[in-house]
Amino acid sequence: MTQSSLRSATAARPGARDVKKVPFVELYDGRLQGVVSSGSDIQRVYVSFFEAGTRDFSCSTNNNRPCGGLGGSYPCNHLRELLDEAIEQYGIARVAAFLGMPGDLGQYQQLHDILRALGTSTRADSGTIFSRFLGDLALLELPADSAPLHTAAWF
Amino acid sequence: MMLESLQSLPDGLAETSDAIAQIDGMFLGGFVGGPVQGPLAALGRIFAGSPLEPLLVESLPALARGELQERHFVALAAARAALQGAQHDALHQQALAALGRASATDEAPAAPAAPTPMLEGVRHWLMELAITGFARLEPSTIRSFLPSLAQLREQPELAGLAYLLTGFTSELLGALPVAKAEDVPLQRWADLWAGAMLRAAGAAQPAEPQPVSGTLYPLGLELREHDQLISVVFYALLDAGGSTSAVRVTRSRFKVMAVGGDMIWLLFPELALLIEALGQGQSLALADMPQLPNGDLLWDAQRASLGGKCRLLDVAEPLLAPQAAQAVASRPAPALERHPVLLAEPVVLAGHALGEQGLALADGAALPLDPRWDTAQLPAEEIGKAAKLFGLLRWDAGRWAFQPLSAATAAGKLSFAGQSAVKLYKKPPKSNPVAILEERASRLLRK
Repeated sequence: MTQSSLRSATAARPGARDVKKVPFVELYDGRLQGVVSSGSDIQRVYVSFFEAGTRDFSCSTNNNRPCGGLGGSYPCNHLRELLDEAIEQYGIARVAAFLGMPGDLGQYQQLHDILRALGTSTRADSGTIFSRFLGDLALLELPADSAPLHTAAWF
Repeated sequence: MMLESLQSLPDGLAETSDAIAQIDGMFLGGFVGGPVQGPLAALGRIFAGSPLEPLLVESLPALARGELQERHFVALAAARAALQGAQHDALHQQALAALGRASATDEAPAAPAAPTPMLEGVRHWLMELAITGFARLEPSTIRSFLPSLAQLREQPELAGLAYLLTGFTSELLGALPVAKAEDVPLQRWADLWAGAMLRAAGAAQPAEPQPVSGTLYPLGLELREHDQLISVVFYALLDAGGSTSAVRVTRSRFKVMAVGGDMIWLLFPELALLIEALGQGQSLALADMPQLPNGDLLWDAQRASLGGKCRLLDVAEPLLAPQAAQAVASRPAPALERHPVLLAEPVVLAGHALGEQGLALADGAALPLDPRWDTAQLPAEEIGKAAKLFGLLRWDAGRWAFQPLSAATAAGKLSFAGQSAVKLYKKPPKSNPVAILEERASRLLRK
């Protein structure tokens, strides 16, 4: 009888995201994935992801060339930046739960706690990530609207 | 004041909620293999003799026989909306009696919606969700719909549906797979499903705006947001043509999740004037601002300018206090908006105290605070010591509650939900995420 129509959790209020460094990060389809700007070349971006569960990681340019900074067992700077911004955007509790970090999730309090418990470098197709980024950017291209919007009342 | 009358519920409200819960139960396990015969038969009895009867006499038995066609699901969504519409009307009447307000005349019924080819795919996908059942949905079913949704967002006349589905799909992807059936927020998802199905039945003709000139007194604002959308609603009084009415100004935009918190104000430079008027305690002069028949203003910052200083809540109190002598009339809502969660009567309260149970009002009545209250920007302490409050009388989860939007001290200083915007417009951040991403978009999307 007393069911609610409202959302139980309020919308995430992201912290101070650095979109210059990491224009896009999301938790989608079993990956923490996103796009990281190159430190040296304005035209180049890296497409990077962590797999949920295995916590394996991958980083390559948007032309699918492997990232030079990536060793076998430790993530490159792009991946660290991606993870750092994911924590900023979603909060570390949600990131740790999504990645399926081992043991009690409460022990993951900061970036380094997660970095210490990762898998290894993997090569997997990351073509969809860049198109997800473009789809995300397209949202900002849509014009603002002045019409009353009653459907927003549920959010 | 007569707000204690809100403690008792209108006749038939609880029974109607039970009937809605019966419908929603079918959506949990789905229409294939779920228990649907009983609830469908019960629904048929409820609507006997009503205008929906001819439609349901055909659709309900068909669904019970397993004839899973789109139009039958549209009929089911209409039946559910009619039950909520009846609840909305009873609650609205109750609120008006408690506040001492009359209802303005009803508008002419809206023209029937025109069929739109793009909406067929939406209805089909929604039907797929219902057939599967919310507790058994797979993320892949949601992901497969995302390309169609991106196309839907390109259609301005379908914005209401696109916002709803963008929020709903994002919420589903965050919650799937469902571990336990009882984790499903059933009424909420059924609301979103039915709201989308009715809006996908066809696109209604938008109403024609008329220019209006007068003085606008902004009183407070409400933010509605999701990861990919933001909608700001200002509540105000408009003094025009010799009478004063309660009006709203809405601005909405799709956004990205990286733009959140206070940065959302950077998406709406055209709202700086309204924020300034709220922050400074000023009215606004409007010249030929477009206004819809239901009172909503279609904001155009070019047609507004700052007016005189005033104590906004003092101006509003004689019109918006409970049982006010010059009470404003309340406009009836169009059919698609007759849902209890959309009830939002603007009210000014004075002489209240804040306790564990919510607000203790001057006449001894108690009114809980609504969960939509923005406690970060309008903390309890400010609510408690305020001389006057402006907010909305709202309904959810079986009870009336008050959603504070702004609070005035005895000296007339106003705090309001969204007030962090004042600083942001005065001093935009050095690194503007909206500008950076828009620049990225123009570089990448137009290659």
